[in-house]
Amino acid sequence: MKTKFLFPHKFNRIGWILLCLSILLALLIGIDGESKILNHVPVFCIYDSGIIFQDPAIKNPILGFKYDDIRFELIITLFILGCMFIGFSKLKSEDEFTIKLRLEALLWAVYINFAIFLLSVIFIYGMVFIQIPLYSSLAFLVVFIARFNYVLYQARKIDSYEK
Amino acid sequence: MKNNLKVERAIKNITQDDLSKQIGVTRQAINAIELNKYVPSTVLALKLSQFFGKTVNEIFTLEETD
Repeated sequence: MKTKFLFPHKFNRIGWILLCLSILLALLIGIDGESKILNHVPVFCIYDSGIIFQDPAIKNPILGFKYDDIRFELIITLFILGCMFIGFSKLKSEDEFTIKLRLEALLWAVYINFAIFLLSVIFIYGMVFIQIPLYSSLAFLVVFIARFNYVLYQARKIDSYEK
Repeated sequence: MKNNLKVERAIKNITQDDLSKQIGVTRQAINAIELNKYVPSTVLALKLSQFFGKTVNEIFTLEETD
């Protein structure tokens, strides 16, 4: 069976490099808060809603350039690309069975992700809640990758004592 | 669905690994089919039937629960 929508196998390694880079950067320079680097970089902005309690005198551009701290953008971009490449690149040997495992792992990740999201909707209140959709969409990719690799590992393990 | 892939394999004296390479699937796929954990696609069933020189019905049979 041919699969149209997967990256070539070598993207897997690229994905791991990007993911490691993202985690390393997050640990070294942090995602938000004070920073001495990357904190005043011109960015193209489609829409800027501003921050709550921000001085209304500061004009926010719609379709324009502004200066911003890009650590968050950089780290999240690397993280998403990394996870996408890891989760959606072809295996060394890809066939209909591994496609089934992949799709089942995706379904599994959807269930887990929305279960957690639902619980957080019900039980978590206040400003923290705003961040939850972001982190849950990132966690979705992580859960998928973990589940897929676990079922692959299981399939290989059974294999080893069946000649 | 039941299958006698393992028996056919024993008759031909071929390992899961070799069979999977001949057919062009993963070893895990052959293993999962033998353990009745995976129902192969029609294409894969036909490839197996071709390889063993038997009809698909001789390798795969329906069960009452199907």
